[in-house]
Amino acid sequence: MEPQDYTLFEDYLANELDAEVKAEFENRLAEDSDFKTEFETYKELSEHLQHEFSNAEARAEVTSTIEKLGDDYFAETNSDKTSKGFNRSYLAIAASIVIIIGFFGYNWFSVPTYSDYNNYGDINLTVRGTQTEALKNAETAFNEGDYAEANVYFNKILKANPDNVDVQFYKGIALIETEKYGEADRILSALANGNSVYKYEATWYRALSQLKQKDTDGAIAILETIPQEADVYEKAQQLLKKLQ
Amino acid sequence: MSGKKIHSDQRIIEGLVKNNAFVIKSIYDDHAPKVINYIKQNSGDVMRAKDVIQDVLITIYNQATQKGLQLTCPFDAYFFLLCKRKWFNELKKKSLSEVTINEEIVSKGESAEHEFMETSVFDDKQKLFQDKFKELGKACQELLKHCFTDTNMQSVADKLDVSYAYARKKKSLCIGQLTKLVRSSAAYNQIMTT
Repeated sequence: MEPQDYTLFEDYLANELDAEVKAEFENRLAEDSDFKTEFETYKELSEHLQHEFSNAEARAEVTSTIEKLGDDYFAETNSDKTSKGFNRSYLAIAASIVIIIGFFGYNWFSVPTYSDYNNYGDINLTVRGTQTEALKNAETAFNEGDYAEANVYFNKILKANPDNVDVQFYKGIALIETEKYGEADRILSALANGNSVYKYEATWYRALSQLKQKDTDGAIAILETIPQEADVYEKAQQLLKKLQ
Repeated sequence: MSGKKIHSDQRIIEGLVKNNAFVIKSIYDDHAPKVINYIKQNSGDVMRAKDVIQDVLITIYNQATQKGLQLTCPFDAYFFLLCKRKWFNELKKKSLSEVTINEEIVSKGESAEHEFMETSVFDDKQKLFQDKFKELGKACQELLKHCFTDTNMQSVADKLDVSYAYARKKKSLCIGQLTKLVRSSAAYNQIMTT
């Protein structure tokens, strides 16, 4: 490959070749397989570099979320305390005896309460590049457990963006935390009946809301509506077993 | 694609791409135990499992955002296959003899294989491209980084204190050099013949 071939590649990709040169180039691609392979590799590398560098900030954010949630999850897994949301297949393996005894001891003798389940870690609502004040404040308030304040901001955001399902969902949770159960149920039901990412999570939280109000039957009824394909199905089933 | 229906677990991919903390947390809750278990049964420990899971999630994110990713199979199968593969490669790197991998693929289906292969190839290529990039001269690395973060070529030229024409030419030469490095590498030939 000559240096001018690479210039050709670059110009072709930038669509800056005039019609005649472009036709010649495409001919050569069709006839010279080595030339074609070199071009395709060049093109693939351009796309790779494009993604690697121009997407750096967004990728850093997602990486940070993955790592932080990973730290949280693995800290729980490693601790001697009984882990919440226990996965049955893990139990099946002859793992740490302490965890197994702890699990049976805890679950055999105690009634599950809302506070066993309301651990959701930090939320991150910011959409790439469009961080608004309200979103940031909402996030901070929620992550600090200041649910009433979070709702003030959530409402602000929903006023301008009534269809934002992420905010609707977290508002639902914040309403449960501040004991506004009726309103919480309205929002979460709407999500449960919709088709967003939160469809089944919303149902799960509706059930938890009943649990918090000490309405075990209500919670059971809702949990039973969660279908097998839902991600929350397993934990819903586990909770059902404990409640029944 | 083959016209297969997109699986409802596609929402997990979308959640990951959008940095949805809830979806990402649910990935750990629902899918980490099996991976942890597998790795522990195959000469690893919990912390190694954590690294594997995080690497795989970032790979999936990169593929979904760069090339697009459409799941036609449950996320569980796809994710687990990728984690197994990553762990297997880790073990190979440390050349542990007698690497016994328990072959137990859950909900194996043709489509899980397809997406899995796609992501595997993407992952291998990405690692190769990143490695070869580091073999370029510093000037090329600088230039390319600027070219792809700043879409205005003139402003790139100004920043590096060169002419527009020079910057443009150098860009194509640097990518050209990278192309040569990649094509002549043994790893590339292996990927292309898989």
